[in-house]
Amino acid sequence: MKQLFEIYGWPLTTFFSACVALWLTILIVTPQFFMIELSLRFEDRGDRLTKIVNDLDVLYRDKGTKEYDLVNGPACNTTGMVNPMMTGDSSCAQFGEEDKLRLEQQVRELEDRIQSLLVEEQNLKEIKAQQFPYSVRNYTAMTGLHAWTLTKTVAFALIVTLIALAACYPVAYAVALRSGPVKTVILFTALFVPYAVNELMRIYAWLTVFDLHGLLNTLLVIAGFASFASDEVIIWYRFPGTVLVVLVYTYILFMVFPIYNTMATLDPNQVEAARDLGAKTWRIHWRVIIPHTKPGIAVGCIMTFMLAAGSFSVPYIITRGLQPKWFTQLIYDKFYESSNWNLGSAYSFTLLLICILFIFGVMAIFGVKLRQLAR
Amino acid sequence: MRGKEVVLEKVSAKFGDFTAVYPTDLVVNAGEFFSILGPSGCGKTTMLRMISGFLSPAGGSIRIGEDLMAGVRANQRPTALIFQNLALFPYMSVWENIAFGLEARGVSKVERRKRAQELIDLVALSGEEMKKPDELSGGQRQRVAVARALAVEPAVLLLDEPLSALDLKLRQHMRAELRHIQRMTGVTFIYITHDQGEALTMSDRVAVMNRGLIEQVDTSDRIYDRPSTPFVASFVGENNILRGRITAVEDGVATLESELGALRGRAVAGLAVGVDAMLFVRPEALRIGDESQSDNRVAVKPVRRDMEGAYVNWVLSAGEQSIVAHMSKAADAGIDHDRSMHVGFAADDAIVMAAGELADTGRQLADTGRQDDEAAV
Amino acid sequence: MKAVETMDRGDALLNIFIGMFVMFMFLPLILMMLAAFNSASPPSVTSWEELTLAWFPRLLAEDRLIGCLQNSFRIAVFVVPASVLLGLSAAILLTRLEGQATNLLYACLISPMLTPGIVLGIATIVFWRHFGVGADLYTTIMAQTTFIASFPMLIIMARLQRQDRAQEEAALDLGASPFFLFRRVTFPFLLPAILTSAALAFLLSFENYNTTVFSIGGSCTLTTEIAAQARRAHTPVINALGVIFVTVTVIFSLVYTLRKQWEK
Repeated sequence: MKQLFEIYGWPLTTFFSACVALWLTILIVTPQFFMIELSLRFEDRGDRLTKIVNDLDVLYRDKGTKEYDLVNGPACNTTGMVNPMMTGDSSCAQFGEEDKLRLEQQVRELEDRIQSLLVEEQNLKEIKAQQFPYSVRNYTAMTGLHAWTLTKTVAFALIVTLIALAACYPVAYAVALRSGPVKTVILFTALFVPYAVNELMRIYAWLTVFDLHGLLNTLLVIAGFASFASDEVIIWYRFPGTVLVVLVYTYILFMVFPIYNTMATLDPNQVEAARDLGAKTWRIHWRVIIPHTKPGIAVGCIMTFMLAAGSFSVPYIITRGLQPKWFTQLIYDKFYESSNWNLGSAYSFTLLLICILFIFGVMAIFGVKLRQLAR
Repeated sequence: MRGKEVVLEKVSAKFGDFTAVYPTDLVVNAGEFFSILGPSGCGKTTMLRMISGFLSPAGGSIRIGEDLMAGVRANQRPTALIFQNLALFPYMSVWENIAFGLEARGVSKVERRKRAQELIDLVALSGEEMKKPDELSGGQRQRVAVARALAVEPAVLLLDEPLSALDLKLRQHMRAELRHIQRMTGVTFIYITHDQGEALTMSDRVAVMNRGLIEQVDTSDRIYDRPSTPFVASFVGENNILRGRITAVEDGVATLESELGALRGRAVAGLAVGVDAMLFVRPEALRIGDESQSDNRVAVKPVRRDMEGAYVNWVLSAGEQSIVAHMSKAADAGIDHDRSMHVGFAADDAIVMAAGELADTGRQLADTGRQDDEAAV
Repeated sequence: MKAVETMDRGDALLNIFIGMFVMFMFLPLILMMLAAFNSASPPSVTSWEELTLAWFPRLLAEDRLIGCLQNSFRIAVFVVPASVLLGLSAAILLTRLEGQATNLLYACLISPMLTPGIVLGIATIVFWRHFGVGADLYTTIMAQTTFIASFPMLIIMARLQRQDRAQEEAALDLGASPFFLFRRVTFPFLLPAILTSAALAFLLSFENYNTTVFSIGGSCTLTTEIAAQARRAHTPVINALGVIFVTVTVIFSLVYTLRKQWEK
């Protein structure tokens, strides 16, 4: 801190510190904390209190309608829409003293019920206020279907990571160590272009392949395995495999570049020396190249896994509603469809926890420290 | 004369548990070219950073002219520092670099331009004003750094081995130039170096520093001829070191009983009979085969004769002891190579001190090698 | 001799693999672009009807798409300067501070890069709901800035670590005030890194989907609109947009590569 003050003076130092403090508190830490807090508050959609609140809504509405009828006469059945609550309804013309008394009687009954419910609601609320508000029920209440979805999502992310690693290591090796300067530039650009193209466009591009009249089905028809005429074609979007392929395609380059970047810093003379000393190719990789490239491999695995497990775009566009929802889609629905933010937060934090576990796992396996990760 | 004196009283520096500079008193006179010479890690750069204000002393006080420097920050001190790597600003042209200090003080652009031009003329860089530092040669960059530091009219200029990146010829040229600029401006120069050639040629006075302590402050001649500690004797120039025990001290001459017999040399103050001691004698003070020399005579065998150009380097052995002698070409011509021979030296050319710390031999050899290179050019 | 032969065979296999890999990366993109020039709708490369450019002008007629595009720019206008400023501040602090606390700070500040985008979006809307702010462009700006700022931080830090600290000391020694020093020495030195990170921040903001879709509520950006359309109806207009995206990317990549080569 002393060094900072000496070089940049107290106004600038304070300004920089304030910026970092804002970033840390308002953007990074507190929102996560709020999300976790929310996820620990269980909202029971089937408990007595929720039911009372719903019932009260209905009763207030009925009472309002009847009071309106008392003043203005009952609603005329002109729209064809009959309020199912208004039993024993009479037509507009026949609104006599008898009906009025009956309505007044009904209003009183409704008021009594409202009063008793209000008392009960008040009691329940007081009990709830005294109760400890936090529980892990949002986490433990995950249904079997959702748990299965989560498992499937994580398993797919792992498979994507493994496929990406297996495919990218040789690619990075070829670009970084086995090519002349010109070829390296060409290959680098060839890989950089798809990497830089918008993620959504790359996902969208696959529709041309998987469509009903897309590339795959056309090839099948040409080969005589299918026919457009008799609709004997395959609806590819139904197969989870399509999501897997597109996940690999979309996130594989996040594996290539970290590996390439670290591999490119390896002195080629080390490889030459190892070869000169009689090491076989696999041994050179195992003893020289891989140890040097570890941080890059770790970063690649972490990024690929995180992106694949947390991908909303790929299942959203590729499944087209023809497959069961992906875990990220479930989370989206909790926020934007069924509006259960508490449960959604719990699911979201579960996903985050899995990613954190994966990061620590990778760091342990490769023996890499955090500082080495982002270079 | 614009220079001011720099006075250090009991100044010390610590990094954690490590003492980089022990409490030191030092007076650098106004307008003096003063060098601090020592091996790397001796604390000389620490000393410089304390004077410039980048480092606070652990104790003691620093005074420049009349003003105490405690609490005065680097950008408010009347000092200017020339960094080892020069630290020129790569995005600014030569004149902008030189005028930087003026710009920082809010001097108008016209005035800046004018003052910068004067300095550009002083350091002979006319015509290079608009170039960027990386378009200049090493010597030119050096001059930009000097001009940039002088532009703020410092009372004290601090130089942290600025010549170390230059090649040998340029280094020698820049020595003369720095000396010239110092005389012209009258600014106090404090020059840090591990290169004794630089320190001895340029300075009015030299401080030799070792392990956080200044061992001797004196003129170049006296540092070379009258070293006051074994470290100074072995670090500055080449010396033969003969070990023994003092048997007598009279009239400033000490007698040392060594494996090679009794040897006599000037005694430094405070030398007592019976202590372990070292006798230092320069290779050029030795005479080979000169029978007339009566003070000290040692029987030796020739090991090697190296032709060094200006002189001849003789490596001799006396028992286990190796002795190096430098002979002028004329003196060398009269030596009979094959016979065993004698070397002699005057007691006045040798110096006897109580045994103490010597300069690191690796360091010493490296410096000797460099000195030889320079001598050869 | 035998060793050389097997090495050559290994290289040949490697080359074939690279070729297939690059083809795998480009094939879907090329198919998508081709379909944009086919009059058939839904877009197809296999049932070719007529070569046409008609889908491109249709883009301009997509009012909703253009409105969403404007939103993308509105968001980027705030996200880019905010991210660069936060990244710059953090980079300076992290480079100049020492000790264990710095490592913790560093871990915290790069954590958004390693967090799934949807989690960032969710945390942001949950946080702002507490203050009565609903999910909209504003929350998206916040959510995007959270992780985009990490990239400028890393880029600027890399440059700061190559800085010659003697230059800052030299400036101080010559009497510069800290502010003058920052403006005249540190900032010019960092400028290339700042510009690079601003460009990157813009790209990241403009192209972001996963964080945006979770934090934007009922509003839209170009990406959320593309996704919505891609899921609903498969129309060649999107393919035309894809052609534009890919072309711009290729041009920028080539210019970037050539400039880098030329600088060497």
